[in-house]
Amino acid sequence: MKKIFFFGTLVLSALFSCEKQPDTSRLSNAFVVSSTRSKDAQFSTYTTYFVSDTIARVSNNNSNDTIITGPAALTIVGEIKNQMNARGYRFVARPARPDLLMRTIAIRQVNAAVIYPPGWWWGYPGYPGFCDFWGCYPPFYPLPPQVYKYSVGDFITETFDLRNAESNNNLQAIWLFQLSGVLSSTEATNVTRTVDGIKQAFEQSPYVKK
Amino acid sequence: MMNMKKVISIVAFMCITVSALQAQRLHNLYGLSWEVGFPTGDFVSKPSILGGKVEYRHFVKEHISVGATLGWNNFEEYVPRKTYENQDQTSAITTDNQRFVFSLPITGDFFYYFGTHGKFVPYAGIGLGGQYAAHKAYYNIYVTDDKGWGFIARPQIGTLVNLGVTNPAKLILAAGYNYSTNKSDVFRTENFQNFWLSLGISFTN
Repeated sequence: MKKIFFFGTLVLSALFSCEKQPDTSRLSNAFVVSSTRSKDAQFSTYTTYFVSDTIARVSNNNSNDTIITGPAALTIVGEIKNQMNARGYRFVARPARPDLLMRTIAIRQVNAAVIYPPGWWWGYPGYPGFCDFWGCYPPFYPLPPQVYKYSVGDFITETFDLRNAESNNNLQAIWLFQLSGVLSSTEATNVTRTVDGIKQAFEQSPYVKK
Repeated sequence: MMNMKKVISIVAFMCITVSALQAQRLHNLYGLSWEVGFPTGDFVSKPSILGGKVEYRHFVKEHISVGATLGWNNFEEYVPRKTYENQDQTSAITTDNQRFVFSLPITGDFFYYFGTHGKFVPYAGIGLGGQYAAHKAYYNIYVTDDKGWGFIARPQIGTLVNLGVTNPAKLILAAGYNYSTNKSDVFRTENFQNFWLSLGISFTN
């Protein structure tokens, strides 16, 4: 009996080791673009939006920078503005109380290969909290359950319903998109991939329109 | 004297023939085969040459064997960049991906043989059991996977090819169909099915 058990275990172990390593050489380096929206949001009812020219930055590589500014940020945020304007929304300054508030965050994590629960970044050390000009609200995210295996870089844009925040006492994220993937050592390449990813995020979100 | 020699020769020939025929009465078969799979589902559709199986058959009667088979296969396919939406269309993801299915069927088998002598010994039968299957999608540097067990049925036909009257080695040629209940909620597949062809070598006693 022991021999049968030993032999059976040996054969099964050998067979499980017959699983081939997949050939990932053809996979593109373009960012994976994922997006999600609130089921209840009526995107055509909003008119104005605001997005800052600076991008919040979160990293685990001991950098003290918490924001990204300069040409890279302007190019990336400029693409978001182009897309929003093309969808019929109008950019206004923040004190003018826009209907939609867009927040951008870039995350760079080095040497990580952990499966995180959905929205893992909200609890990430250094992730910016949210107290707006008019007060603090508990953010609500309409994310369905998803699992991401996170490794190197993410660019996240969250869009909040500012118009109804006071009456609802709830700062609701009605749309967010996330660009994920391995980062290049060249900033220009990362910026180009991010711009391409933003275009794709809008393309796969046709409901975002005035 | 001449007649006596003839009789002895004939008896000796008959003895050898009878013992050879008795040697063809199989008791056990141990086989190792290479298997090519042709998946029929949506998740992967590209044929795979990276399959195989080991099997044992015990002949309970001259025409009937029961036994067990342990098989495996690796299906893989590259899918260009595309957008996928969830069912209520509130979420979408755009990426290319390398899809992969590793299957490991383990079955108890029943075979009926149409004849026992001759160069070819055709048979038909079915294997029933369980199958472990791992569905995976690799994209950028990420992987999403879904693993589990299901029930499997492997109806099949084939033939043993005798390589000589007293040679215990025989070739096995076979073709069949795998139907398994391995489903994946993540990839929205209800089952996993594939046709297959196999070529193997076996040793009998």
